[in-house]
Amino acid sequence: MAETSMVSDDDTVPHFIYTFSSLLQRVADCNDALSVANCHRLPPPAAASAFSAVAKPEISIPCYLERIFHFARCSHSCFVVAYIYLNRFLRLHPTFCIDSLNVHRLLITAVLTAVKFMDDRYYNNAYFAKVGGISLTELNYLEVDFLFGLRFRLNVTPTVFESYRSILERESNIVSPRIPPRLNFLLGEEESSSSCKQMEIIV
Amino acid sequence: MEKYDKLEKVGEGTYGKVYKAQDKVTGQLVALKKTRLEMDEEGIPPTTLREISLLQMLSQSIYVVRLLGVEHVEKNGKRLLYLVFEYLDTDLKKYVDSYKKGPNSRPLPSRLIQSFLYQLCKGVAHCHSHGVLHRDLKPQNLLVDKDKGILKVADLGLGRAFTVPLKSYTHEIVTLWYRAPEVLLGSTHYSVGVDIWSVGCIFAEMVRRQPLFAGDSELQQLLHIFRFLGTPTEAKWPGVSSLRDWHDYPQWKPQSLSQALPNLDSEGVDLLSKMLEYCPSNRISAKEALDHPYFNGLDKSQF
Repeated sequence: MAETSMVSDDDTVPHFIYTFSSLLQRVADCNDALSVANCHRLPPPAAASAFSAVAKPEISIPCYLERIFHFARCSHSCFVVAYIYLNRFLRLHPTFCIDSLNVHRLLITAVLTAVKFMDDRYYNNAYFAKVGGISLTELNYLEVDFLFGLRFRLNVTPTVFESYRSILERESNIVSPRIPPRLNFLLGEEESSSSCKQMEIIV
Repeated sequence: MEKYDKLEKVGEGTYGKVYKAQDKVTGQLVALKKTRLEMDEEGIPPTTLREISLLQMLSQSIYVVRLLGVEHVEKNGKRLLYLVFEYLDTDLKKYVDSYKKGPNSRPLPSRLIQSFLYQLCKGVAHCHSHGVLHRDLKPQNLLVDKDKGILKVADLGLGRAFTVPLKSYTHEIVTLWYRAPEVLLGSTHYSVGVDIWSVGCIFAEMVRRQPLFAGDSELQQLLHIFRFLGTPTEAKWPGVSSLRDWHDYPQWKPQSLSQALPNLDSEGVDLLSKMLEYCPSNRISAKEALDHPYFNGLDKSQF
């Protein structure tokens, strides 16, 4: 992925967006399966429980992310940053699992946060709530939960950005990867945490 | 927020009031910046979101105001966000004004200007080394501790990370008087030079005790600059005539900086001219400025 693709105004969905959603899809599927198998699953931590829907949303993760991509009209970099935020969030809440009930809400909140932090021009929460198919009140609460959950660590260094960008790029080139990619890919930035559930499941 | 006694209101921003307050247990003075979250459609104001996350990263420098904490409060159905900052008693605008008005009107001691400028360059160099553009440097956003002679960079609400590829930047940054010519001419891919230009304007303002370029519109602002520094040419600033808002402006010759600022020594004039260099890529960096001979007389061990 050339750097220019990150600032392009092109409407075509870049391939890394599909990589991003297929990564999330696999993590959610794994955790759904585990949750069924494991009756002793811990309840999600308070900071994270707000993201859970009562029922599994009908729209698939790839369609949902594509929808956000088309309507948010933000710098493409924001999606890489949203991916970094999700990883950070999971590291800070090691007992929290991405599953099919919470992945949509996490995604819209992560993209909204990335856009607000990175871009100078963007749509407001009311618009993002419509794009994400949730109420404005709910998105406003999720935003606060996500920011505090991230401890307001929103800045992304160029090194970290490039590492994650290259992960999404590398995975884009693999047509059908045999080993599912990990969402919590270990990078220099964040401390490793063996207690992280996602890591145990999918490595 | 029960931890603090509000003492007095010290300011008012776009989203709420700023209070001087005191920790009930430790007695520590703090500034509480209250942000109303009732403007529902917007959610958390982006300026607040950026300020918190940038300060959290930059606060370890003593030349950047320290953010002590953030609290989300729900009271009578109203949602509020409190930012808790260390308290400093004044800002550079008020401080310079105190030398301008009344029977005690006198120039700022040159040692003090040197020290404040050095601390400002330290703060700006710290932001830049973390990939953050401040974009709103002005005397009101520089906090001062009068007794200790300390200056700190504050108000990072317009700050932005500049190291990740992004869509064009807004050019509605920086209060007009401190705005760099490339921004006034419509450049949307500016960089650290915009902050250095502001630092140069603030430097001259400390010397003159009045703003260097006080335009009341973007065009007036450009003309003020051109009249003082000479109208830029392609030779002086390659690419200037291709900038979006470039026109054929009247041709002015540069004035002598040392004549315009008789109180400033020759090293100071040299440093200022390097900060007000037209071509952004030739403008001195904050880090380079710290090594400029203007600061030779300063006891740097105290910083």
